[in-house]
Amino acid sequence: MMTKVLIVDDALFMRRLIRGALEPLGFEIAGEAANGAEGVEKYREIKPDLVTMDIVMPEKDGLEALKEIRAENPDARVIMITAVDQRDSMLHAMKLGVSDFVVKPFDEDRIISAAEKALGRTAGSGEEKR
Amino acid sequence: MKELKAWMDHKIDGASKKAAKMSSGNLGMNLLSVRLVGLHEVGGLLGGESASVVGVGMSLLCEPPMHFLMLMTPEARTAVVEAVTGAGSATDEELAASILQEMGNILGSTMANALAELFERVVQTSTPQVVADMAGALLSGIIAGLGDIGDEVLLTDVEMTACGNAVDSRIFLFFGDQLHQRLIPRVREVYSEAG
Repeated sequence: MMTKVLIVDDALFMRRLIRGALEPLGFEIAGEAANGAEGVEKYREIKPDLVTMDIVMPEKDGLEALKEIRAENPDARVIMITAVDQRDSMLHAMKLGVSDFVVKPFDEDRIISAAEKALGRTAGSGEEKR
Repeated sequence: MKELKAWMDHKIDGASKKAAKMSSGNLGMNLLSVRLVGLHEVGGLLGGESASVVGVGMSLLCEPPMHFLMLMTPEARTAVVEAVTGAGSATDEELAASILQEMGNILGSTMANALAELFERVVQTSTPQVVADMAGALLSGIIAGLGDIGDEVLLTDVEMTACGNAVDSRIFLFFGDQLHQRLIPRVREVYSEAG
């Protein structure tokens, strides 16, 4: 079965970049959301294996959405994608249970390795670690 | 101002590398000068108060708040978008706006990260906004939103290039008097600590 991914980012450009990096590797982009509130809603609906989440978004930011998702599913795998590269803010997100951080702008390889790490796979193996 | 220019030069260089990464090397930036300009002069810097401009702005959420604004002409906007998508690519309006939004996000966040490092505190950012309007109207809106920001703004005169050609744009930092008074001494302090 394909790995289902939900992309949450308010910028269409970023959603297309992430889709373009993951789709060719066999990830199924099961949904996209343009803010945190929509992201939580789609998470409930799709139940994805992985979420890529922007932090700064209108309506509900990525950290609030992460809290809600982790409250519903403590094992949820969420990669935070942010342009704000500040240690204290990253530590805060780590405490909320984020799987990895990707700082914008990023290379395709970086988002792919973050996705594989979050899913517990070794790079390019396509299999989960047991 | 010498230390501030050196500090800003370093930060703009970092922002330039990020812009290049976002555009397969097509976008670049080079800091020309850093100076304080009177608020009343700002509207005239990019073709006058009634000139059509595109602004990409975001608030830096510190105390007192700051505002990052990148202003460009409509021609510069097209050049920047094409530098990211490839010249002549069909680009819908939503995608073009989101490219500018992301560009503002990355550049504004570079400033937020730099201030966070300088003042050893978290500086969060608002969602970047892309607005097309007359220069005067756009600036009045930002100034009204910031409240008490004093009479001057920091103008970082940055030459932006798209596919090797200079594009008409400017970057402004609007900040309250208190932060303004702390910024230059703090930069000076950091440079003297670094020897």
